[in-house]
Amino acid sequence: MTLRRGATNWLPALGVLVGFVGIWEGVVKGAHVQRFLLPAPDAIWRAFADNQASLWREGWFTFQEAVGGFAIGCCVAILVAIVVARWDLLGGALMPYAIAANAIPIIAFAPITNAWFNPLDKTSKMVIAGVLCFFPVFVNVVRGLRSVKPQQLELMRSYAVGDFTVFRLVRVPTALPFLFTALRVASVLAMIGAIVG
Amino acid sequence: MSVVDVKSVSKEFKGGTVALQDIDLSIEQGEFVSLIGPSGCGKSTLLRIIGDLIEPSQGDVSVNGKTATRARRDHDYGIVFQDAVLYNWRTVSKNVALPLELAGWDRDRRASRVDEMLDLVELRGFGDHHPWQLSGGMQQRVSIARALSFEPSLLLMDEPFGALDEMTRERLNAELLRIWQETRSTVVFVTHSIAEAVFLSTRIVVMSARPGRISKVIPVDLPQPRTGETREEPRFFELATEVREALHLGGVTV
Repeated sequence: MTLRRGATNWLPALGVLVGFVGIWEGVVKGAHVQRFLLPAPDAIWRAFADNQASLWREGWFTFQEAVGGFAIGCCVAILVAIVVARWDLLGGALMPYAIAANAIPIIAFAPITNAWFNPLDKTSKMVIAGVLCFFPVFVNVVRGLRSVKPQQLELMRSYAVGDFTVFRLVRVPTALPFLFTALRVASVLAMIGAIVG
Repeated sequence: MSVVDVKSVSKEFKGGTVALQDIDLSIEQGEFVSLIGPSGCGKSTLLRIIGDLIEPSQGDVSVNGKTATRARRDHDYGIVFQDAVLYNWRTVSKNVALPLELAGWDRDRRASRVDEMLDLVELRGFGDHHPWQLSGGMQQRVSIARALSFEPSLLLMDEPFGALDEMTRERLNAELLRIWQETRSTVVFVTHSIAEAVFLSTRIVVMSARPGRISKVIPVDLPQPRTGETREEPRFFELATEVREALHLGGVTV
């Protein structure tokens, strides 16, 4: 039952892939499109197979950079978000700069980190990936920690419990869905950061 | 000694809105007191001041002879809001057990109390469900069980059935009366339903808006136990009319 439903779920998508690649191949071959304009799928596949060893090696390298940057960026973002959500004044002071900093394109940023760290080393790319991950995670976690309903806080106040208990029992669970959404966005940004950087 | 003693309490919010002016109210052990009035009359504010969730601008509140803050720290009251405020990631049992957990009760004691509470609100067998699997009326029962789990002497209720349909509301009204009699607690109940106030209360405090004041206090002499038939008695209608007229005098046109 589940298997059959699984098959009906991915079969249409597979059909689109096969059809698309087929049409692409047909158009390139049929209309004699030049190779440098649009190579045919079979040519791309052959090139990939020929250079397999070096592609895997470089890809693995970039992947490590992305994962490292993702981990660093997300951890720092969560910690800063917790502090900012706790102390409003600090949030007011930092938020405008965080938003402004997010508008800086990575292209402008890459030369600086390349100068700070060895450009052939992983660190410089990790920093770029981390910076890219920071913003969406930071903003979402702050919003999540603050989106607690006032009545939930009133209930906790009626129990006369401390700030840390409120944080643990109410704020963290409320913020989790926000965090996961942000992590999904950040994982893509980390790859972009590692590749472009 | 009265359970709740409110002495010349006023509350002015930032921006100058006077929510309450010169409120005096004393509630005895075992009473069921409803606060009724138009929106903006400060009935919920008064409830929150009694629960020390907001501070009054002037005046004093004592609960069980202590300051409101002391009483809150001693867990002297349980509170129920219009929204059940349950934690969706916790089962019904764990929601009911939350205040016990925070008060440091051990697991066995918690479990047996939770069972008692679920029996009390007639939700036996739903302990392992999650709140989103329950209807609105059932969620509100969980919230009542949670408020009563640590046996507070006072129960504060802020329009607890306001979001429910009329039939569910009447059923829960009858259940609340039964629970009130079984637990012998004192209840302060905010509502904007005249029928609900008359059916439940031993005393109705009618409030008027801008500024929030007590315009009339109406003792309800309907005999206990009250049932569905109580709602059809002539005395019920007389009292409902009295409350309605008191609300009109308070400057409301319905």
